[in-house]
Amino acid sequence: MLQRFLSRSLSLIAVQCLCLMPATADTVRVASLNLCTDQLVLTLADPEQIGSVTFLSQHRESSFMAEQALKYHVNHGQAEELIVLQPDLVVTLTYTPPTTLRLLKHLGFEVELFSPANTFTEVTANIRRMATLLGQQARGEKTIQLMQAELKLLTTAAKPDGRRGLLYEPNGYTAGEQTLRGELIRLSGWRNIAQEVGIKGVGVINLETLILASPDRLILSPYAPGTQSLGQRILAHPAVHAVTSGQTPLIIPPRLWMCGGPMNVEAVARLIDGL
Amino acid sequence: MASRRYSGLISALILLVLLLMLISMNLGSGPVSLIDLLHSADAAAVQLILVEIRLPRTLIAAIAGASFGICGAVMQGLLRNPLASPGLIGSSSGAALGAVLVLYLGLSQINWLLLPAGGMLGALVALVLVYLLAGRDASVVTIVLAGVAINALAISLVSLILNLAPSPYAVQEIVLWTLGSVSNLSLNDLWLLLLPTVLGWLLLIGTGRGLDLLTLGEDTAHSMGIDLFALRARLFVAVALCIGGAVSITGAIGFIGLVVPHLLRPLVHYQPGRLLPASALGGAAMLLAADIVVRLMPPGPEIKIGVLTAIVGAPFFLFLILKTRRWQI
Repeated sequence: MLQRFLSRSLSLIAVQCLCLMPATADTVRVASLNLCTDQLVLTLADPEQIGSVTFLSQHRESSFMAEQALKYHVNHGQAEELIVLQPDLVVTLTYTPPTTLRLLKHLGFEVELFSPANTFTEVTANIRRMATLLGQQARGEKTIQLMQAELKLLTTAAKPDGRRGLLYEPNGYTAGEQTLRGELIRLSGWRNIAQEVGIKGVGVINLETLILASPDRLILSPYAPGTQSLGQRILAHPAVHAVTSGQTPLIIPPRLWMCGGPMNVEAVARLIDGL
Repeated sequence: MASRRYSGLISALILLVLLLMLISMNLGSGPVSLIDLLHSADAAAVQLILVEIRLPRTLIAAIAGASFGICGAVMQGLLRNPLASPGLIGSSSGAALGAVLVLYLGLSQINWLLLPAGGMLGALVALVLVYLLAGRDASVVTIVLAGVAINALAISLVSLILNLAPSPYAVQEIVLWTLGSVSNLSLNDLWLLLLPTVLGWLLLIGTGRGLDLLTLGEDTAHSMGIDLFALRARLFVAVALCIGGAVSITGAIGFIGLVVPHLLRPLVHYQPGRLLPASALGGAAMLLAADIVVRLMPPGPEIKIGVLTAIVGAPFFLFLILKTRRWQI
């Protein structure tokens, strides 16, 4: 027990003194309990630092890092899965159920909670914070610089002509102001209809409002293609098809913008292509 | 005299249904009404909203409501039991189970008609099971008990299938299947509903006399030339077609088949045959009215239509139980 306590305290000290130490001396082993923190860890950490990522990080539809994630131990977001693993640090999003968080703290784990990024600034802030926790500041800064440079290149080349787009998801969900996807749509030069009709955050746009708003093109992001439900049937409603004069919707794979990270740049590229 | 009063009642109900349909066509989240069809800046959008969204919603509410109403009247007449109705004795949940199996396992991709077919089969199985469980001339209590058992089984199987379904959206849809909704439907759904419903209604034509004679008891009805087995089979299939079609499109909306026939029975002089058309119109009016109230509620997540029919229907159900209890004392 004392030994564990000492080793944890030592590794904490290690994290705090990273600025003075070479990167190789760092041995923070991290476990992630959320798809979004998974992908930040997979981007920034050295392989030996990665203790565990969630099973979702291996799903090709939702995870941009599915290939890399195959190499690592997976968890299902449960605290008990980490007991054997004894990671030095647990990272997850604020979406994690409070009961799980209480249990993790009760078991003596160091937990770092990340807020989901709703803007590009928050994406870079999350990358920077994760890089610091992992002792990979240099890699973090490089990732951020690359991302910003690519984004600048893309957005200066784009020629916005006021085309109006709407992200349309099963059950009529869409993303307005203060959402990452809303911001990426706007950054790409689209006018986001969800924002025009006053939707803040993620909200539902009903069919009649959609038709009166008359989008030029719909943006779809099918999370589970090939499956059936009433919620997904709304996307095939003849009125939805007719309002865009039968134009094929723009498909942005969810793995590109479900979470904040370097992959968002590719979402912007595809959004600009579809403009 | 009675016949004139009957045609008066039917005309009044038709007028009520037409009026409610007119209100329903003019009501929605967008500021669009029928008058806009004549002069509007954005004619295409107005036409889309009225024809592709509100028309199917209005017609589906009317047709499904009519089916729930008429099937309640048929079941109460056939089983000679005041508590028989599609919702209470499990045929609606059976239909939901059939439709859920077809939709979420992807069978409806093969052919959309499999959806109402699944609903119909589910309703028929539930109906026959309750009938066999309760036996002939079953008491009110036996039928309701058998219905409760089949209902519970079907609803838990619906939940189980939705939990196991590959779609990540399936689990949230339990409430749609158990409480029902007519929003976001299209003309395609209307055609899917129409086919089994029209077949079911056609089968019901001419069964009025049989149901009338059944009020005198099965033996008397038999001695007056009614083939009971054929009548029963025909009515079961008709109810399964109507309920299967309606539930596979709208979900299991409860209490219409219970309340409407009871309200109208005194007005048709307790004649089951005459109750059928009246209950169809009454059911259409009740579901249309419920859907209008749903749309008048403040914006936000839409209230499921079955919540409203249950708020009206459940107290009525209690009142019926109290009334039956008094008879039995």
